[in-house]
Amino acid sequence: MSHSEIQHEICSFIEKELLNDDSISLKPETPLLELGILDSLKMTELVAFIEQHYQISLMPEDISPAYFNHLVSISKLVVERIQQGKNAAA
Amino acid sequence: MKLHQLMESSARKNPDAVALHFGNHSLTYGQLDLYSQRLAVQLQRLGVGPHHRVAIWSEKSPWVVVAMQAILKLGAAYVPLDPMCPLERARVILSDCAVHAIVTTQNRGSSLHGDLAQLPRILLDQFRPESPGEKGSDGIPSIMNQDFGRAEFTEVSENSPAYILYTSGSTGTPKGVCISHRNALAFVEWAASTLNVSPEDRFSNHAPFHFDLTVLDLYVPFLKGASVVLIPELLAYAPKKLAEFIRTKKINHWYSVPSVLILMMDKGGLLEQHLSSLKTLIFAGEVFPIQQLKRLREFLPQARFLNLYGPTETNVCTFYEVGEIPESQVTPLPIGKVCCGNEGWIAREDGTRVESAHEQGELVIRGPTVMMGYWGKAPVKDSTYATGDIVSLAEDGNYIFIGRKDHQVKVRGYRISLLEVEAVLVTSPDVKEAVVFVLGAGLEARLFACVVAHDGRIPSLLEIKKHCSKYLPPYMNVEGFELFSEFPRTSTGKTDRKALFAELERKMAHVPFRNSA
Repeated sequence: MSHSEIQHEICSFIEKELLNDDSISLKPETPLLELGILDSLKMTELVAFIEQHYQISLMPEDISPAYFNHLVSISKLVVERIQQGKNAAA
Repeated sequence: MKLHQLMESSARKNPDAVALHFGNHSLTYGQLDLYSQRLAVQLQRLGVGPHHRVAIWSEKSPWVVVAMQAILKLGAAYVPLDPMCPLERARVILSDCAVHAIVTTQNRGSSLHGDLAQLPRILLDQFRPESPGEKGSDGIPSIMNQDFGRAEFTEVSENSPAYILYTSGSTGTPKGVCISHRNALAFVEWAASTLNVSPEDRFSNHAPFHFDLTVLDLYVPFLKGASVVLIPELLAYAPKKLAEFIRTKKINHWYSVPSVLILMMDKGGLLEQHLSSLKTLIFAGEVFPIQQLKRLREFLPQARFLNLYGPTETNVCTFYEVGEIPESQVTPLPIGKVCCGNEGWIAREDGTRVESAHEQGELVIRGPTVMMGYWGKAPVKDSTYATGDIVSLAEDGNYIFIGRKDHQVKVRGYRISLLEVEAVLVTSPDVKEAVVFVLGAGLEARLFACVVAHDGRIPSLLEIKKHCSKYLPPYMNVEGFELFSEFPRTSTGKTDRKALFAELERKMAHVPFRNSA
């Protein structure tokens, strides 16, 4: 699965499941934490979605603003963790 | 006695004991004292001295704790900012208390412009590049990795400011609550003896450093030579990992707002963890719903449960130890009786004291933990502070929290003045008038704005959120809004908030969750 596909999936999850608002359309650079789009409850749901959907386990240090403020960096993290999982299995 | 002397005294007694844990790293008391001494010398070279203020604007790390101790050693006061604080808000705070220097990170430091561009600074994320043959610096900021020799620092009185915490203000700008060494110590000494802390104990530090919950997390262990495990800010958003954290880090004393515990119970599998290390569960900042508390109490029969109460202005001023909760109990959890050497009473609107049980009034606190005053405003008189919280007295002598007398609210433990959010909203080019309400309760609580737009403007939620985010931290941002052509008015022409709320409820009933993020 490509980086852009993952970004698209995560974007639609946040828009459809977390925001309940048709008027918001997120851009890769929208600052999710600074705008309060991801708060504690929504982060919880996003992390649960990512772990289940991509069958990966995020480490405590992954839950950092460096990753979770933007769609680009979240999907980059997911790509890295999927790759790590594959390497470990190989 | 001064606040930083708690750490210094433990460093003398047992320098090799661990003071701070963070990730896989730790700092001993000896290291904490050494690094804060080095940083103090550097700050002194930047011109920081007694009675100055130094801001700290950084993510949570052991180096921030080092900076706090360094600033106190100099007789100055630290001003911790929310790491997510927008630049404009940071500018307001830094100017309000006229800081002499800032301890921050490279990104944040370079964002300061205008007058603040010249502000003397220490950058915590600047590490010395390793040259060939040189030993790794082990992640120590370069400023603390060099010995600048010892220096003498002027002692200040224990009635001098130790830190200033900025809280949401009703006028549209945050207010700086100024706490002296004595104010803080009166609470810390009480807490250390009430919690019966031993040097082997481990505390958690869940709250961000600009919250007063941190005072217990750091200084109670420092007083007893115990250790504290720092929890990174965003991990607080991952309840499953947080619940595992309590078990794997063998936390003995946990302190947070109830929302975090409820989030861990509901979404993080807290009640499936084996938490035998937990001796005390401490919570404050909002009312713990009794049914949820009952579940937790039954799950952790070995632990003591303490409900602490007190606005930032008074530190902790009352507490209640939760005993058995009867199956039939539906009344809210009391905030308890006064502590830390304070006295308290309930005042009617005319200032007379309520003497009988169950009559409501405003809780007034007088005593050693009450703040010096708001920065730049008149000091409090006679160490007395009217909390703005409406309470009643139960027959057993415990205070019961009823609500607020103003427009200040708590959302998941965050204290927010609705008027401050409204003041920011009306500076948006789209918004003519705004009234903000809290919709939902507990974990579902969210800020929702009623908006009258300027002629010809059609506000969007994203634009409104972007505007607010320039001035307000994320937890104060609105999650949705509803447009009104005009607001209902009272006979005196003021916005009728009650009628507006009823109108909003009617609108929302037709279109549930419209515009709600």
